Amino acid sequence: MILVGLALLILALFGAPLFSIIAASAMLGFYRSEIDLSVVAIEFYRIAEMPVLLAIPLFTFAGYLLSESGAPRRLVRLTQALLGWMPGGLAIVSLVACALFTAFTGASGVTIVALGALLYPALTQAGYQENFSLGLVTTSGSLGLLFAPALPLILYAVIAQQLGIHGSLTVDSMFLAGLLPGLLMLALLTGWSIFSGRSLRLEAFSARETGAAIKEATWELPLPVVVLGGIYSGIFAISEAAAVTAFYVLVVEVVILREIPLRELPAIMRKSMVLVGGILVILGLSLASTNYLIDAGIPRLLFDRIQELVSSKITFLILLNIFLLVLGTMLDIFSALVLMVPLLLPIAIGYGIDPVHLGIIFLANMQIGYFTPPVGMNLFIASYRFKKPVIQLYLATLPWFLILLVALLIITYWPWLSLALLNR
Amino acid sequence: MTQLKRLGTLLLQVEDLLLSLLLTSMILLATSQILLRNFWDYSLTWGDPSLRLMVLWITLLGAMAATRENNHIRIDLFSRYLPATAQRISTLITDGFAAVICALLAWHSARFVLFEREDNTQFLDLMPIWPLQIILPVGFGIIALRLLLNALLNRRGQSVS
Amino acid sequence: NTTTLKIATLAPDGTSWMNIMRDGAKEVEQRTSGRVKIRFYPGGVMGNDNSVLRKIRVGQLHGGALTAGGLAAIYPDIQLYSLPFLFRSFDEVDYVRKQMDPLLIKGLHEAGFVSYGISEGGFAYLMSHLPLDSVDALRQQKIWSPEGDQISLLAFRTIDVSPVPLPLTDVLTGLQTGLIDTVGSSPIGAIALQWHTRIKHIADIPLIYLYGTLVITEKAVNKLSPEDQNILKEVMERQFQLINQQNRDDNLAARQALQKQGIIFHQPMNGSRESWQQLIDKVEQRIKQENLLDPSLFKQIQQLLETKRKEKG
Ligand code: NA
Ligand code: NA
Repeated sequence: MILVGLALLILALFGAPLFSIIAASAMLGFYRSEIDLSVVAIEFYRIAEMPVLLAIPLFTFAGYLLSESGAPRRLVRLTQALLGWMPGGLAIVSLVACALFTAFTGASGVTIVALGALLYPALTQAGYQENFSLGLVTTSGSLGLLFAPALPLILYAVIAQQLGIHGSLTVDSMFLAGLLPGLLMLALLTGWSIFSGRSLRLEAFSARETGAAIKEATWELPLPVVVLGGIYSGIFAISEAAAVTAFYVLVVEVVILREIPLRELPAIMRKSMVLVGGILVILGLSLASTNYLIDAGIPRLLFDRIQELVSSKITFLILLNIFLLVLGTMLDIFSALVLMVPLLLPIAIGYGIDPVHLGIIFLANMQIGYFTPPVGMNLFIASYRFKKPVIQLYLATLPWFLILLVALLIITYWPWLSLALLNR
Repeated sequence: MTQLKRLGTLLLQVEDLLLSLLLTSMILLATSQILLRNFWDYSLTWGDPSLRLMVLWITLLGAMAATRENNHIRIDLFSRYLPATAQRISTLITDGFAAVICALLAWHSARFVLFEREDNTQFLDLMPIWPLQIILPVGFGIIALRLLLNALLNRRGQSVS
Repeated sequence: NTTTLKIATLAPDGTSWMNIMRDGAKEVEQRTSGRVKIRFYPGGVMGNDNSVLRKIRVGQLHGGALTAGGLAAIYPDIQLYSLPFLFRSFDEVDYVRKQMDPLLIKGLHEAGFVSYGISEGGFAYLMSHLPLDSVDALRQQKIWSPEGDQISLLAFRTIDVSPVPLPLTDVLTGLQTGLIDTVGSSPIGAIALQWHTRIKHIADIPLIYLYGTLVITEKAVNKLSPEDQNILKEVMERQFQLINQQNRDDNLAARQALQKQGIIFHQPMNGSRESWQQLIDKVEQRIKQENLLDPSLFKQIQQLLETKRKEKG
């Protein structure tokens, strides 16, 4: 078994497509458990049963269209005009935009392919270093899971509620609890952005330039308003926001601004769908490999091992963080929630940890797990989208990873941050 | 031979056309659902389930195109340090391996579709679902063939790493 | 030699539902001296009902606790009790189920599944942010229908309501944003899924009876020795009975909690009672025409209900 695992690793390092490695490990696992291999197809087919995935092709296409148009240049001009006097201005705008976007779309890599496509060229155009820009867009791909109305926050509350946890753990309380920890992460990353952008040229604020920049971006500016406003007013469902975005961008860039000729559209569609295919085929097969882990009861085994080592609240929290980080790189956030919360919550309560606080710790870990080297999924997605070696992504995200680890420690050992807004 | 080649080109064009058509209909269908609901107070029952099946089709058609361009996500730390001959052998092994895996996936997907047909699973009382799932074995089968071709012809185009 | 039965459920670990199931599994293992083990996959980690059925077919799983809607793919008549407006009270439910449950379980058996009993999930009621005091008020509202649920869709369409189909995960945000303002749910469901924080009115007419069953494939059960089969049957049937009772109690308690929270329960008024009844008849008529179910079973349940209603006066 170890030998076969090693062989797969070597094949991966010599450049076998990642999806084939994942598929092989899933099939091998099922084969050894004497389970019919068509389970892999059954799991892969779940792609057609997950509503949230619809957002991926639609947002990706919109992102490609925007990045092929003059939108990145206009965005740079506008933020330079508005925030050019401030160190790290564009980087901060990017962080906030990604966080809001992820809160709505989840961390499934949509933020990287859709917004990253727009922000990465904008950042490098504005003079930020390549690795800084890469690190920012990759990290931001999961930033925002702690902000309402992110689905994992809702799901945690629903699961905890069903366990019969007293003290009414509501969705609203999770929404409130996520706010300060989320802002802490954002603030630390903002600090890093200001520091990294310190040598970039600053410009005095000019009302005239700002006016001109706003005018130039007239058609793109309503986009966030339309999307967020549409969702909050109930005109469309979250899953439909992607369709509105794609449709709006299509009309603006092709019909109104005419920056992209109609005859180039099929090529752009094709290019963006190649990316979607590359990502979703991995996602579908990792559903199968996750299913093998679940079938064999591996998360529970891992948990039992860790529990043997626990002696106090502090060690519990340390081991919890390590365990969840590892889990976050292996499982998708939803499987992790439904599998582990019922096991963790009673024990955490036993150590006097507030269930709301546990939820925030859990999600913060999962968020970092998305880009924890060597196998965090978003590292691969960013490598693919920006055509950079995975190794470069490891290096580019390292400072961001370390900063968020600090944030994680603060969130874990300072419960006040999660509970202050709750009057508990 | 030229006719065979022409047929091949035609098939590729059909594949590209299908991809663009699917994406366009997804955008139009999803947008018109919003309009229907807000202005005519009507919802399409088949809307969302069809959109999700289209995501499945896009996934496989996109992955097929990615294989054609040799543009799959790879970790690939080592092969760039290899001399040319060793690199060729390495490609032959890794892509050959991937081709075998995809052939297995195609085979077991075909069994999956066959089971669904035997069970007479329906797509919302409208039609049998298996024709809508046929892209699974077809897609993985074509990917396997293309990988095999890549391995034999030693094409490693624009792999990202 | 030990046999491990792998069973998927949608219920999350740690709920009283799962605890009762796990107690049963422990007892089975003990009484068969470890020959029969039951391993659960809770919380829907094995996918939705369709996905679970597919995995049962290829042998990865041996059984599942499935909803009536999910089982319809292998045995359509299992949906008999989920006809809209079929039952008017729990009295009627108990009376009918006593006689009809064995028939449905027999039907499942003919489809290759051993059922260890049917457990109720309660009555679903229409719950809304807006008043539900008349049929006209209902028609003004944006009602959620579970995606893919043909019977409820048919029912709503029949009474000229066009529901908004959404996946379960989008319902709470839908209620928050106003995409929908009305849902059908049992009291425990509404509280567990937190929908109760967004509703103010409930129409006090049972809309649909919700239930599920634990099934294991006959093939898997037949591999056990007859004694072990009996132990499994005895224990799991008893546990399922317990779950059934527990759900009844929980739903009644949840109903009271909703009342205490200030949610208004609308009794159909004298004037509007008639139009509600017209609406119910229309739905019944329509479903009969659609011929979704075995007519003889349908007739039998109608007769039982008639008898019960006459007896009540
Ligand atoms: Na993950
Ligand atoms: Na939807």
